Amino acid sequence: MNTTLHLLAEDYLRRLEQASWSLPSHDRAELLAEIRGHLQAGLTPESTDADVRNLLDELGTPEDIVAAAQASPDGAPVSGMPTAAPQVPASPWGAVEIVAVLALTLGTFVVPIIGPIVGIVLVWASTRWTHREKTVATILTVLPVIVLAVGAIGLVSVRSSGSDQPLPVEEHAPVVVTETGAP
Amino acid sequence: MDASLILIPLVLFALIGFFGPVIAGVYLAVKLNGRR
Repeated sequence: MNTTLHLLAEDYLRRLEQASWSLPSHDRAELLAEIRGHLQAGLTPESTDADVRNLLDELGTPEDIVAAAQASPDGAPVSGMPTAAPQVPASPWGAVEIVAVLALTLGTFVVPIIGPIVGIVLVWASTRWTHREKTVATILTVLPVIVLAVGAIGLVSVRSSGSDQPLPVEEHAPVVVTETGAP
Repeated sequence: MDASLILIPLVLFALIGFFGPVIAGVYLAVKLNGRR
């Protein structure tokens, strides 16, 4: 019953995906890939339902795996789960990340305005930064532009109001009419 | 009003505007390198 086995495994992965929403996107993708690889390595087309259930029981519930991943520093492998192969520490830098950082730093000077916009878009496209890091970077990029815009508008308005300032007039000065002379 | 009084703050604002993305890029690079 190959289809049933795969359905059980896929259902497990789907539940894990739902349970791991709170993890950083990079850690989440890494965890899902790790568990999927473990399931693929541990199951064969001849595996029975019981085999699949035993393997899933060894892993624990998706909630347990997420809790273990949250507790372990820098996304260490989940305890109790055998690792299929010794993990070679991969560089966190991918093409998207390199281009994003270059666009934000050098691109700002080479292609002003467009460079930072491209950089921020690539930062949000990357899965290797957390949501918080992306938000901080976006604020750092956008906030000075807002300050610049507000400052420029303020200066222009100050300038225009200063040059065209009319002479002070007491608009609501009471008008006193006195009648002089006797009838 | 003297034009330089307008230009100097604008240049300062522009410098801040330029360095914002640079600071963001350095911040992201440091964060990513710290994850090795």
